[in-house]
Amino acid sequence: MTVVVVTGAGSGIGRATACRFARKGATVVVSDINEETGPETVDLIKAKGGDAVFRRLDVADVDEWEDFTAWVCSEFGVPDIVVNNAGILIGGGFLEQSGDDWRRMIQINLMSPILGSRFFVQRMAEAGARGHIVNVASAGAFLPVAIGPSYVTAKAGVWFATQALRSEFGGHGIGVSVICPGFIRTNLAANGTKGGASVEDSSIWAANLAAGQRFLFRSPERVAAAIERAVRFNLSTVPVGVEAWLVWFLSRLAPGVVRGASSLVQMQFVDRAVEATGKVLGGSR
Amino acid sequence: MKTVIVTGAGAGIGRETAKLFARRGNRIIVADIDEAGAEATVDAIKAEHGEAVPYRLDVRSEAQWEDFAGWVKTQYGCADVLVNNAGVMDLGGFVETTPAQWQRMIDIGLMSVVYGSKVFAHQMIDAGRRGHIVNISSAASFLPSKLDTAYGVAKAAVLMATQSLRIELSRHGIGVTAICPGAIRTELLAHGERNGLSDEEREAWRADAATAQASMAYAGPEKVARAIERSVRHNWAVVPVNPEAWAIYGLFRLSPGLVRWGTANISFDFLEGTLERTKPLMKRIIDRRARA
Repeated sequence: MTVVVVTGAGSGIGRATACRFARKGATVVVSDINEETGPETVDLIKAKGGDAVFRRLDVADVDEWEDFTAWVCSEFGVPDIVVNNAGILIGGGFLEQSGDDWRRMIQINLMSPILGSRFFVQRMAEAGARGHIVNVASAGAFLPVAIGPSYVTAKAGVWFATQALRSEFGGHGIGVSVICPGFIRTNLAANGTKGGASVEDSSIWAANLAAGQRFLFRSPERVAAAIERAVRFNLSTVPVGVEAWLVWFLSRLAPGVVRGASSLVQMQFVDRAVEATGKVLGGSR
Repeated sequence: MKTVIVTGAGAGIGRETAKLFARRGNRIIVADIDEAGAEATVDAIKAEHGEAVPYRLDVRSEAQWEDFAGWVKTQYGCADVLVNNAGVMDLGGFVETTPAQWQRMIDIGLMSVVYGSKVFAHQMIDAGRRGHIVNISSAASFLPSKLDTAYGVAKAAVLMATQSLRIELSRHGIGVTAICPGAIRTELLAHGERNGLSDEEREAWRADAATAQASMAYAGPEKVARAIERSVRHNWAVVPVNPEAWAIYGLFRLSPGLVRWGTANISFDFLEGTLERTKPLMKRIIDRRARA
């Protein structure tokens, strides 16, 4: 029986991935910080005759990671597949975002996949087990931006960390993949915040952005399929969506061109676009 | 007279950068956590009739950065150039490196650059100054390997943060550069840790690493200082310094898989074996340099 661990599996890409692996007959450990949406994913899986359990995990907490790893390994043995998917979005420019915003972003989007990879790879290596680590980065890992610099910095770090992990453990029978989705229809924006804004402004901004994200973009199912494919063929870097492929190659071919194009998108335009999106597609107001 | 801030200026690349900018007629603020090292740099600059002041700064602390920026503002109005150079290099693989050791690399390598860039970019914008921020990344940010995993991750993140900052600050006329030096003859390894070793093993390892860096790194820190000074003049974006840094940069863009394949075949055992065999040679190189 294949055991799959998915973090942030209460919604979006995590939920789609958990459901997909469950459909293929795996036992899925659904972890999320949200104790409502996490069990919902388990219910969804069980309604279709799949096997899943929920375990709350705050990926920002090192001690919780340690307990979580120990719990998973004692309940199910060393897992076959670990998907480090949990992540957040903080919008706003480099200077708008406070030190706390930056620390939170680096802790959740960079350190948590590193910790998850580290703890589970350690177990796999000790047990001599074969396994697979999938880290969900972003097409933003290749795209310097003025509108969410902490996010792309963390994702670039994750992408690079995954390269190092693959270099070190690829020869030990442990597969390592990093997924770089483009625009996906998830709750990333709905749960996001805006750096440098008041709590109220931030939630309005997030709601407006979420209105766009709810209608536009491609389904998280696409990413779940990419994750499954990455595991099956032990793919290394897997962009999802045409814009992700484009930035993956263009950033390597001509980083200056990517920076030039990206510099056209500054925060003040984004604010206006987000507001318009909210009006047209029904945000908070 | 322009005000140039260099962090980690008590040694290595920072010291040479401080001296070079001082020779060009700038006032240097020599920031370092090592006060003795900072004093020594200031003395060296004053011996050449330059102007410099030491400042004790722990780059990991956002509060200290804010105090520092306030002090610079009251003393000199506004900084013109900030060189985020301070750093240490811990070695060790992905799993060998404990969570605390990972956090240490992220704090020193990445967060310090974020804090410094933030407070001084604010200062430059407020003063309407067309300044420049230089962040020292590393050729390690193109070289994912088990030798320096956490260091490489921090430096790769710095590279991305720096490019993002460049995009954001261009409309304020503030230049931003990332420097990727390569192997440079400094005390970087001697100041770092080798994760996953016992204490006595670590001391022996540190001495060996210092020997290796002193003998095998063929480029001196003044080479990087010149690259930094040129980058500020021309506002370059990403600047690899040594030939090997350029080579890895190109190769990693061409094929990350090829670079990974290369680094997968290097191990600490191999490296330490090579170190053992080449010790006599390295000693000869160091002796010859000392005589010259």
